[in-house]
Amino acid sequence: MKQEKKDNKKQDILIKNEERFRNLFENANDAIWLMDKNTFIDCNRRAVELFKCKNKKDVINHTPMDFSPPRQPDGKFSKDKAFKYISAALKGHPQRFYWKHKNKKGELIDAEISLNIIISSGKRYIQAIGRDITERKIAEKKLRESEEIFKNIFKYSAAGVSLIDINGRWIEVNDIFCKITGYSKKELLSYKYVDITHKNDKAKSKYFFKKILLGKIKYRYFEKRYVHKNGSIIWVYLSLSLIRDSFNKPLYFITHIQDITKNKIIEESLKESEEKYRTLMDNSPDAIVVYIENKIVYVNNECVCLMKASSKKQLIGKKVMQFVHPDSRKIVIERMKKVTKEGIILPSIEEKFICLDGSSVDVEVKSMSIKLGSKLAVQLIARDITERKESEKKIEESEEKYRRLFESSKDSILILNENSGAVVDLNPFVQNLFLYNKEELLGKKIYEIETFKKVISGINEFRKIRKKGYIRYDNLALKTKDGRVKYVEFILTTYFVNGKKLIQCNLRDLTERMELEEAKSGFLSITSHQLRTPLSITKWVLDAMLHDGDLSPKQLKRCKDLIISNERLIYLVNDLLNVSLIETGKLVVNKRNTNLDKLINELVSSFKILAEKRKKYIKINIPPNIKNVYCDPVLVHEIIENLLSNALNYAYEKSLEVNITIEERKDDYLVSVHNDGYIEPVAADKIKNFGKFVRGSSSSEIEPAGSGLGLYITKKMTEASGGTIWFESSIQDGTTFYVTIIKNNKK
Amino acid sequence: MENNKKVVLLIVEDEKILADTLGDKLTSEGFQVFKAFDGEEGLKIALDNHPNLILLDLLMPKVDGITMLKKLRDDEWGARAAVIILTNLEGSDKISESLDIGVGNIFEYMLKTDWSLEDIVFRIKERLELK
Repeated sequence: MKQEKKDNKKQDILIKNEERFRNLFENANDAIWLMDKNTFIDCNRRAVELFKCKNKKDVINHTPMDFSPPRQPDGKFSKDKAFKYISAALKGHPQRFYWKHKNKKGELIDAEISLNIIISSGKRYIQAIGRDITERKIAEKKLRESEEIFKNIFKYSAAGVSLIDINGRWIEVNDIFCKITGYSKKELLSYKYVDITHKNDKAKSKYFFKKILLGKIKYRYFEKRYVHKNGSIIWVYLSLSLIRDSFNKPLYFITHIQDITKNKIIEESLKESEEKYRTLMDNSPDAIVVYIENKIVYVNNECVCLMKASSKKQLIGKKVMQFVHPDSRKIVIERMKKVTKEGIILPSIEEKFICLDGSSVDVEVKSMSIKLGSKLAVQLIARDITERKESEKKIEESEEKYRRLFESSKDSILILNENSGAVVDLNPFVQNLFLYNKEELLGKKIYEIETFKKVISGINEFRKIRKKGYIRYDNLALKTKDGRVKYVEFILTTYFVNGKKLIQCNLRDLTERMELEEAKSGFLSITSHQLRTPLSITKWVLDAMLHDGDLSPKQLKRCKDLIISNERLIYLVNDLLNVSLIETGKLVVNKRNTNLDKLINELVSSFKILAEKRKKYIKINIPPNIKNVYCDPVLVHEIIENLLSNALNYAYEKSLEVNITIEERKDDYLVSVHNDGYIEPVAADKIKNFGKFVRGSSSSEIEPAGSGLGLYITKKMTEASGGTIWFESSIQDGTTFYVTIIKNNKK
Repeated sequence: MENNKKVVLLIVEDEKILADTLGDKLTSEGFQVFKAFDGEEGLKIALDNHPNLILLDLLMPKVDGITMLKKLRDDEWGARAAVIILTNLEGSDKISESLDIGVGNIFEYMLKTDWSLEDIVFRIKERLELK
């Protein structure tokens, strides 16, 4: 029994062990097969699950080939490979390998297989353990793929990417990062980021690093400078973030950088030019205002002046409309409506503004719509045109004046185009004078108008005249439209208006003037003639009577008295006529080459009688070759006659001589008439101006017939000839009257 | 002065009294005197008789002095005929006009009121002697 008990105990233990082992076998997490050579003889639950079979029966007595694709991933035949592994295992070499199985459903399974030899009851069996690594494989693949992706991102990113450890040292950098900073990967990986950060940005960078590290912020974008390997400054736009593990522990920083150096340069220069532009704007001589939605946001210095403000503050923020004068409000509102988008330019316009002090100012305004940030703004440039307006007004006024003059001028005026000679304007009197209609003349060339062909025969003639710039015809006979002749004074002048050259023709109808002058001269001549006729009759009849020889002494005396009286009248008429001629400007000076020698001599001989009467001798001192003197002989005759007459009449009784001298000088001839008489200062003072009705104290005794106009007439005649007259008188030297006759110095 | 008888003078003057008074004086001086009372008559007598000297008034009816003078100068003899303008008309244009037609120097232009009869005789003699 003891043996039985012992055997039973042994059997129990065996059974228990077997159960234990069977449990382990059945419940193992891995699939386990037992193989006799290459046939499954047993398997566990897991193996059934792996092959997606219903139960063991589906597995047992099958081979691994039944649960494998024909080929393995490496292309080799499954059969051959399996045989190899199994054979090796049977020899006693454990095998561990990767195998692709195929389950009952046909799905492919990745498995990790290990083969071991088991010897049981002297027989060799294979224990195969398999682990489903399909998921792991997929995960591995995914990981590999994403790793690949990330590697590519890293490698091919357009930005510089770097990984930095929590101490600030580089762990990884991509090519671009290297390119941007100028360092090689090797170099960067030996540095901390602060090593190549610009000194002014170190603090900033450290600050952000710390903040992110401490979890205060998740990420940060900022600009900073690196110092390139070659020493130059690189501006970068940097994004910084932190990668943490699943326990939120900081792992490493990722930075992305973009080289913005160029942008920075542009930015700087933009800023510079913005400043320049702002300075220009500020100092522009025109007022500049910028407003957004009617509110003023910017004014320049000139605007402050224009609006009579004392600072920009007084204008900024105010509504634009409050500075627009009521007269201009409507127009301004209309204009503002047109500003609907950016880039609209409104044409120049005149507006009236109201300054801060209430005064108004006229301005010329140009507006343009611009974008300021995101808002639509209007930039307005205003120029003070007060002065311009005033001068415009003046020009308008003077133009009005001129036009009135032009229209009402009694002269006919034609305005010609300087180039073509065409009539561009004419006043009404042209029509009256020549009987043309305005339409007939406007636009026509002057040398094509019948009337004027006489003056300007053709285009060549016109060109000649235009070159001269000025011509004058005192007395031109022109034919009117209907063929009648009119005498005109024709003056052509050129002048500039607004830089343009214009030709003006003035025509004055002389007919009236000529008639008037005829009348005038006629009047004077006829009157003097009419007055003189009876005077000469009286003169000669009395003369004849005197010499008839049959008068009584009493009758003789009466005759002589009448003669004297008549002479007075004759003198008066002469003087009156002369003064009339002078005063009506009818005294014509007709200069010609005169033989002065002959003139003087003949004049002197005509004074023979008076000279004898006064018991004086007239002495002539004339240079020998004074033959050709350019003067008016009639006037010279009168002048010297007058002076001689005075000299003879007002000399000392006891004096014997009257001298007449001519001296040739550089620019004139000096004629002097001398006697021994003396003009007292009081009298000299009275007559020194050669005025009318001025006579010496003794004149009425010596020359009772004198009119008192003698000196006046002499002076006027002298001056009309271009000469001067004066006298000198002293007790020792007597009296000398001087007259100059200017030489004809025609160059 | 026997020569004077041969000297022929022509007075062209529309004022009869003047013509007569002057004519008497000249005749008494021994000149042969013709008288005309207008330019037309004056021209005719001048061309017919070729006087040694013509005393010419300017303002006359029908044909005035200047016109007569112009016409006279057109004649072959008349072109060189001696003329003294004897007038009361004053006005420089008239003087220059007559001067232009070749009257000579201004002393050929005499204002009647300026000269006595004696002066005129003196002047005539002077003129003829110079010739």
